Amino acid sequence: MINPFSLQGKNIVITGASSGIGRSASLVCAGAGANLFMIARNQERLEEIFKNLPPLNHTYLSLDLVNYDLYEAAINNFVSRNGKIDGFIHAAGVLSTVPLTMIKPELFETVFAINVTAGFEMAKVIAKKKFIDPEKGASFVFISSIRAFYGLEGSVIYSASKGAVSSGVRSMALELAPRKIRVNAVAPSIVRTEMIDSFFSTIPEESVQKMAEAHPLGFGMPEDVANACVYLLSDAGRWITGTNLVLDGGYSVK
Amino acid sequence: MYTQDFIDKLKEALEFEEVEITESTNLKQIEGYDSMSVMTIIAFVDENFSKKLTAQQLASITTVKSLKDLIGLDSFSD
Repeated sequence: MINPFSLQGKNIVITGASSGIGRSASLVCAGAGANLFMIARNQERLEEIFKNLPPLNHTYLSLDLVNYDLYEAAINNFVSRNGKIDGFIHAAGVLSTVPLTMIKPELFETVFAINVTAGFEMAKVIAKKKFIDPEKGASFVFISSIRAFYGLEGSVIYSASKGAVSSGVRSMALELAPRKIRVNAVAPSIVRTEMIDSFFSTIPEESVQKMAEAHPLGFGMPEDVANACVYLLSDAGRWITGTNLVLDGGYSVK
Repeated sequence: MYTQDFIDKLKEALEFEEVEITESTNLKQIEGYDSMSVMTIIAFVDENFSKKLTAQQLASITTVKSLKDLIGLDSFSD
C-alpha cells in the first residue's frame, strides 16, 4: 500500500534548518524519505545535522538569508543536482521581545527581513517554472505562529511579522494554484526550542508558569510542528492550500 | 555613561519623568512598576549597554544602584 504521508523521493528546501523547528523538520522529512536542501547561517550545525540524516541525496548551504540575490543560484545548483523541487519549508525566523515604547524602526526591518521577506523571496524563486515539475506541482509551508492571531505583551513586532506570513500565504496560494503549487502556514504556539528558552529568560518565571497552564496539552515539541509540515508537504495534503494550521495544544480553545 | 544620564534615560524609557529618582530609589516601589517595566528595562539595557539581562536577574534588583551593579560598574564613567 502506498503511504500518502510519505515524502519518498521528494526534493525539499528548508530554511533555518540548523536549529529549532527547522532542524526537527529536516530530520523528520529526511526520515519520511525526502532529499533535502538545508539552508541556514551556521555551517557547523548544518554539518552536524547532515551527518545524522539517513544517507539520501541531501545537500546544505551556509547562507545569511538577507542575501536575497544569492537565492536563485543556490536553488539552480540544487535543481541541477537533484532535479525539480517538490517542497519548501520556511523555518528561519527571529523572535524579538521588545515593548512598544522601546521599538525602533530598524527592528521591524531586522525581524521582517527573516520572518517575511526571506520566505516570500525564496518562494518566488522556487516557484519559477524552471524549478518545478508542472505535472507534480509543489507544496510550500511557512512556519508562522499563534501570535499571528493571539496577542502577547512585548510581541508587537513578532506578531506583526507572523501576521504578514499568515495572510501572505492566502494570496500566494491563489497566485500559485495554476502552477499546482500549494501554499500553507502552520501556526504553532510555544514550542520548546532554543529561541523560546531565550524568550523565557526575558519574562518572569511566574509568567512562564501561567503560559504553561494556558496550554491544556502543555508546550509543543519541535517534532510536533515538523510532523504537521510533513502532512502539508505530502500527497495526503493535496487538497489543502491557503490555510493556517494551528498547532497549540489547546491554547486557543479557551 | 554617567549615572545621571542613565537615570534620566531610564526615567524616559519607563515614563517615570514625574518621579524623583536617585541611585537609592527602589524601582519596584514606584507606582506603575510592573511586568512591562521589566521588559522595558531589559530592552533599555540591551539598547544602551549591549547586555542581555534576564527577567530572573531583574527580579533580584531593588534600587537603581543594584541595577547599575547588575549592568556592571565598568559601563559607568563616574
